Amino acid sequence: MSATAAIRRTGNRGTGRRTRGTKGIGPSGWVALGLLGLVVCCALLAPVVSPQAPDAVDLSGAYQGASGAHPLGTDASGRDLLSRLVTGSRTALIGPFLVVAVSTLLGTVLALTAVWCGGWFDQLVVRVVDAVFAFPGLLLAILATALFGSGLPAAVVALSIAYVPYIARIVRSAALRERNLPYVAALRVQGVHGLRIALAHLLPNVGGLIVANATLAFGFALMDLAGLSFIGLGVQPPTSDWGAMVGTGMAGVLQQHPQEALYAGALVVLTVGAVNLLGDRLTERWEARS
Amino acid sequence: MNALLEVEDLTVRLPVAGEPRTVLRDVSFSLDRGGTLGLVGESGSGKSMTVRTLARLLPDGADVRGTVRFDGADVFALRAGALRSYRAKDVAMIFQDARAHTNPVRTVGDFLTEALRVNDRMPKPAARKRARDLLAEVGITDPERRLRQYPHELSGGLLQRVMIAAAVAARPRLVLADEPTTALDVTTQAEVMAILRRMRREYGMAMLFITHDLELAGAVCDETMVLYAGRTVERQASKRLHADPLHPYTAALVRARPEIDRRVERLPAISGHPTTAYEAPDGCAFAPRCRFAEEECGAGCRPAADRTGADPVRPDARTARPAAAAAPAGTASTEEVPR
Amino acid sequence: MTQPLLVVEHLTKTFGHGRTRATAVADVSFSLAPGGSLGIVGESGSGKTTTARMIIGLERPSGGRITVRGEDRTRPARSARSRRRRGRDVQIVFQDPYTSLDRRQRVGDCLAEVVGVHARLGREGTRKRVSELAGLVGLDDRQLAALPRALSGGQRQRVAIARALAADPDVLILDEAVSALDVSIQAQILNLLSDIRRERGVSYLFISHDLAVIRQVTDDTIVMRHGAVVEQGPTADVLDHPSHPTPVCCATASRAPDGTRDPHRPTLTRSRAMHAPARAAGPPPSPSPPPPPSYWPAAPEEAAPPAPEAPAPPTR
Repeated sequence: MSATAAIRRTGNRGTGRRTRGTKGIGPSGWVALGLLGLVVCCALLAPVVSPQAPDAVDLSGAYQGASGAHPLGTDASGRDLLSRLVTGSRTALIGPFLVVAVSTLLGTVLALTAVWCGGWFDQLVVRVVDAVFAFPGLLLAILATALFGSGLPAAVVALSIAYVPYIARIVRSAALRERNLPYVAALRVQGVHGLRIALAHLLPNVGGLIVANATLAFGFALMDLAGLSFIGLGVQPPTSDWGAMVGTGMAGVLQQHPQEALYAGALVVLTVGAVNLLGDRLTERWEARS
Repeated sequence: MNALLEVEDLTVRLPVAGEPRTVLRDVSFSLDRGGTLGLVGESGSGKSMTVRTLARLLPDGADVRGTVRFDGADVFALRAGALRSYRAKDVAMIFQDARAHTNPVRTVGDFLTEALRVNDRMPKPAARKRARDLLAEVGITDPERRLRQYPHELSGGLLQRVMIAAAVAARPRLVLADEPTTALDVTTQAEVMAILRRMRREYGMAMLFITHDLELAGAVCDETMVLYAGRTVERQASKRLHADPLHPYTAALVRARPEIDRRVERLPAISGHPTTAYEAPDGCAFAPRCRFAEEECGAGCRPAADRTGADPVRPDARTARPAAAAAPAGTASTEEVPR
Repeated sequence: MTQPLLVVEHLTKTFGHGRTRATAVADVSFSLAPGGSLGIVGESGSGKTTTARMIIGLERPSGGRITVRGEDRTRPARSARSRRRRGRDVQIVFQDPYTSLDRRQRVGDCLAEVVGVHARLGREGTRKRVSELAGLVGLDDRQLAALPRALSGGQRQRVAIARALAADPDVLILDEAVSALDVSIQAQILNLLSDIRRERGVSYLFISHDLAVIRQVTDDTIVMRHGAVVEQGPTADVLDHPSHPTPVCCATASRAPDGTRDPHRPTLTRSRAMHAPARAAGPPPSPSPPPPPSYWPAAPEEAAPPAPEAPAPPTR
């Protein structure tokens, strides 16, 4: 690393790139990473960390303020908010992660294949992608829950499909630009296999874009899933979920007890922000190499 | 002094990765009204940066020392309004890549009339008519049709003519031409240069002509200044530059070009590659690549070799100029002639 | 007379169909002898690059025939394997050294990848071959370990040449390979190319718009205009005694009217512009064969000559 950095510095012919990429992800990146690490730890260790059972109903203790037994108070059913938030981080992370993983993988494969094959296949992909793109993701999700019943899996599947065109479109245009560069022609002329060109050359060169979009999509997915849970189509009660908590917390807001919705909403915003920030830093790092 | 443009000890640093990097160092020159000066250099020599500095188009955080005076006024002291008028009326720029400097979704007519209507507050029909006349002046037939076309419908040479038309529209006193013909074909290049020359004469504009091509500069400009690594290497009348270069770099550059009428066994290439001002060593920036480098070349920077038309030849100002450099180009068949 | 290495017969390429149909290359024929060096000169849009792309198999000819050592190469190879086999006959170096290398791949890896495509040498063997290629084009280990962006244009072009030579081709197509380089670097690369040709016996197909460069590196030259060959012959003859409007115009564009400016160039100067007011514009005079349909609607487009002005030397 240090050797390449040295060459880059001495050999930099005034391309004017920032050097942060060579030095890691920067302080803000580390803060974001730390925050996400905390959320991930909570999710992994939820049963250990949460002070009480997240689903333990205590109707007599509804809307309690912060106390020793309930550090963040309780909700309308007297359930411990902290425990529910901690447990809720599981669905809040797993759902978007799955959505992003599936849609990025599918979208990228689709885009690279379309670009590599070109011709009618490319046109077909473009048309299909545009058609799906025109369909709002949330609407698709509502449709999916109508088909498969509500719950997290249906919502994840629906959002994954809804996100594929988004990823595919962006990756395709970048890969297409890349494919038309002379170095790809040179590799082809050498007889390098198409699959290898796509995987070893096109993919890394659009990688920064993929990372950037994956993190953006993670944020969107977290919000969308929370939204689905909020309208009752995502995570079903009594399972705790941030989005669902914002939903159930709405009743509390009207009764001067905003804690539940507030805490859950704040966590959604913080996590999305952290993911996006980390994504930015990772993208910069990636691009710094080229 | 009646110089239109005076540049004194211009040093420019740009922030790269947070640290300032020198891109121009102590560049001085002046340009008379209606005069022409060629700025010749390889990549990293700072020739384009000079143009940007003159038009005050430097990025944020640029550190500029020295003075640039246009018609007596300090360009870097101009306030917003005066600066706008300086850019709109006094200087015009022509770029290498005309396509990149036109908006692809606006027609040629929009492009040409915009400045007239905004800066000269011309009514639309009058601006349209003026645009038509301008196109005709730069030798474009059927200007009415061209005005309705989009940049992508025009060939590179045609688009560059449009750029010239736009540049002279405001009747500027100075044209900054940054490699205006580099992207063009040989024959188109000849046409565009002919038009540029004619327009310059007609309107009495001074021109700073930036190019990497020593001969082109020599053919277009009265005087030529050679830049290397952000510094002036030499400046003298174009006519003499070829036959009698003052600096080893210029001599090497002249000899490195293959000749159209003669084939040589080996081209007298210059070893190494052009450096930027930032990477350049103290002393003569060319010294590491120079066949005639001596110890003193690294010690301190000699004053740039300057033999402008005004002052007579000053033999003492000649830098370590080898006899070989003055020998007919192409006779030296080996790359490295022993000193 | 030995059998020619590369033969191109009546090569034609049209793009589009119906109304938008345009001919990029029209009935081009030439041959390249083993160890020879053939220049293709022409303006942009004259079909030089399209011709090269057809020979290298990146474009499919609409008509005509391409043979390499008697083997038919008209249709682009379908599989990677046959592309690889053909790659050992003909290779190409592109104009732009900045986009012809993968910007995320270290230069050494780039060469190793291509070496690996053509021969299974093992790790050590590949390394040796890579450093041999690097030595051939004058790159050192530090440069091999660098990413392209740490290299100058000339160094990148050396990499591109090394990559092309990795296949040990018989024909190397150089598509404006020195046009984007600084003058001092251009000379280095031209010298390098002539060294390589002498040492390895590679034949060059050298595409350029620069007559001086063509003179320096080629034995024979063809001149293309509007997709067709308008002149053909030994380079010196074509440049010195042009018989067709195109080279005439190119040459006049290069001819300095004042022989005084440079006594060392009696007939032609290297100066490539400004002295000729738009001689090339417009269709060639009528006695010559009618121009084939052109790729660009060039003739009327570029017509409009400026007022013919005395090509005065830049005197004060």
